[in-house]
Amino acid sequence: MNPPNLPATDTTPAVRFDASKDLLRFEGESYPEDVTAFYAPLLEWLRAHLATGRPLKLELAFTYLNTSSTKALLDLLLVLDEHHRRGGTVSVEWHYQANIEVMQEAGEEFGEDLALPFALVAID
Amino acid sequence: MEISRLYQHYLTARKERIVLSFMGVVTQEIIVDYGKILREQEGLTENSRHVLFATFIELAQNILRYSAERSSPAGRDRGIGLVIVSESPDAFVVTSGNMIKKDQSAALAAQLDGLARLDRAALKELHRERRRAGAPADSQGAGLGLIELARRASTPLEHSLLPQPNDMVFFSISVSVAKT
Repeated sequence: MNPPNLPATDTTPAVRFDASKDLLRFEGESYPEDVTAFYAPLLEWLRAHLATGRPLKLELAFTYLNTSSTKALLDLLLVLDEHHRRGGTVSVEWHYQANIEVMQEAGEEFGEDLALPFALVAID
Repeated sequence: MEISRLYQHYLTARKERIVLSFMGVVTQEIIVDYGKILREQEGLTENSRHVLFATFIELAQNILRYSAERSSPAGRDRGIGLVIVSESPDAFVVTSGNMIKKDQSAALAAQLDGLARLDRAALKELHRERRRAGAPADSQGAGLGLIELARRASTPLEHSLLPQPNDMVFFSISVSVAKT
């Protein structure tokens, strides 16, 4: 399965995997008409990647997530969290624009739901 | 439409400080373009502009997904309804209106009445519970949408239901977003 290499659209984020850094990065907006069609293949790739035993660093730089994307992203993060509980090496950074409190709070709430290493990074 | 009626419509829209209004088939393309207009509004903080945009997206996508009145040309199934955004001195108000099935209206009204009784901390807690619980079969977003709208609104959500003769109910919801 090819690693994700998706350009951003108006309603979906850019998603890119940098194999040299084991880094998967999301950047942009997420409010697609069909949330499952966008997130299901990413979740499938993620499961396959974790099964190889490679570590994974996830960078989430969303500028906006609608509520159905929030739910889809949480499902993806819970898969990572399960991997972490089984001893896998995973970490997540939540990047948000410093003056948008609701995106900071969204990051804090994802962090509360997870046991894996989770860092909030404010971008000016 | 006769010009005098059209002009009355225009004057009413001006008087109520309508920033945008739309009635028809809600497509994803329309949502994107109208969303861009809202992101260009001035006189509100970055955070409030974000909440205004988010409120519009949730309400418009609710019509697209859940309106009982639908249009399906070439298999592209989308809901019909209206969305209006108006401005007051200290807030924007996003209102949506669409048909829902009569047998769904009581549950929706009960959910909204329940949310209206919760303060911000209780809404945050409910959001936490619901996102962990998983999505009900009839919702893409685990029923989080209305909770999120209620959390971000500057006043309790207002809704009304207008029964129709054909087992339908016209459902409207209004969400205020403070400018600061």
